[in-house]
Amino acid sequence: MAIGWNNRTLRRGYRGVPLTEPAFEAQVRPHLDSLYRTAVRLSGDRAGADDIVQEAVIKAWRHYDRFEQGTNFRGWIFKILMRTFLNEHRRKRRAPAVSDFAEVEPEGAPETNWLSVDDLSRLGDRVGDAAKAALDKLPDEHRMIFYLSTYEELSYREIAVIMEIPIGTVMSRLFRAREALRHDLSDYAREGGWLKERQDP
Amino acid sequence: MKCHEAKRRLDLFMDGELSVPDNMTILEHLNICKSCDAAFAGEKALRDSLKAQSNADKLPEEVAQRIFANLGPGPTSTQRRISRRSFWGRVAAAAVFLAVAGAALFTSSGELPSAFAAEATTRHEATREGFHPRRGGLEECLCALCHPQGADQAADAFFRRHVSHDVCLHDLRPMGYELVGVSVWEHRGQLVCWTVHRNAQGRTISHGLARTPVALGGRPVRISEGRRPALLIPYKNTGSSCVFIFDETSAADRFAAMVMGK
Repeated sequence: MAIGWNNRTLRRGYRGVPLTEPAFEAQVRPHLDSLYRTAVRLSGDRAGADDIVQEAVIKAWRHYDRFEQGTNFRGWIFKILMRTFLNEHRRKRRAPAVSDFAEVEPEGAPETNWLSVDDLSRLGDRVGDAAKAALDKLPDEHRMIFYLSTYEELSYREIAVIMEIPIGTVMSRLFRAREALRHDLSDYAREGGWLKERQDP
Repeated sequence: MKCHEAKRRLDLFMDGELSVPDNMTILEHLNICKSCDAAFAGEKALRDSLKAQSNADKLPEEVAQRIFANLGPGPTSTQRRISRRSFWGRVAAAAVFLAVAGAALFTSSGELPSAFAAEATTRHEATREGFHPRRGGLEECLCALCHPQGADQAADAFFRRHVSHDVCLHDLRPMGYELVGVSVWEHRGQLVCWTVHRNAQGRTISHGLARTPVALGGRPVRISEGRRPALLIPYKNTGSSCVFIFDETSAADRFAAMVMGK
């Protein structure tokens, strides 16, 4: 239910959903693997991902009464996970966030390199590592948007809410991330001799 | 459509972010253009490959157990703060409500709840059996045969494809109802997200969200006249309204009691 009910409903838990640990656990559990996978992709290691998920879940529990039951719980807890990762990551590297990829991209970007099914088939298992290397070069905020869209299949609107940015920024960052991925994968495939050169009609 | 336009929109198409007419245009182009179709197939294969490699990761159960065993202090302290504030909050809300209710029963949209409910009732009667077999376009069957991977995801993807505004996420499973279909239809120039739920006894509850503020005062409005019982609920503070249509009064009463927190 996505209705702004009064505080009495909030305290009781909307539609009988009490603010208890078992109720919270039941709501979180279906999303744990998704949260974990996203944290693994972001942090790059499983031990770090465990910590990010744990911290995010504890924060979510602390603020569980602020979640409006019936609205998008998945979006809410992903937002907490993203903030947790960014805070931790920025603290570790002591560096500010990159503003927008469009601002640093040189003029005259090359044309999109669309890979064919045959190209991917020739690349085989190398795709995963090559894609990871390409994505690791992107700023955190761009990678996050790519992961949320490609792996978690969230809508642009949901991502905009989670990342607290305008939907246009989601679209431009996602576009840049995908272009960078295609470009790097094509280069990798060409250098390895796996790319079949072709000409568009 | 030219190839460069189709390729420029290919990502939006694959992300389900295009409008229905734009989707159709892309599909038509892919049917006749080998180059764009190859780009689409390649991009789809790339996404599938990345997802397949990534989706194997699962949070170890012992980590999950450790997390839930060490949750720490919960939201109790915040609840107490809310509780102390809530009395004066209610007094203020009541004062505002009385002042506004004296001036007008409904918002400036000029729409009467009964008009919206009547239109929704007609829709309820036309769709209460669901949409099987899948009709496509602006209607989608969500039964287990049409969507064995799960109705929730399919409903989410359907609405994402067709509407840009908020979609209400009313979950009626606690009442024993399952999602059987979704559609969108136009009401006063606004698209209504229409969701159909049925229980094991074949009873149906349909509900839809329209960007039309029909009820005032933050409370549900019951419409008892007409062919079916209806309940109108303001949707958060967005100015949108959700209309629920029930097969029978008892289901409407149960639902009203549930959402009122009684």
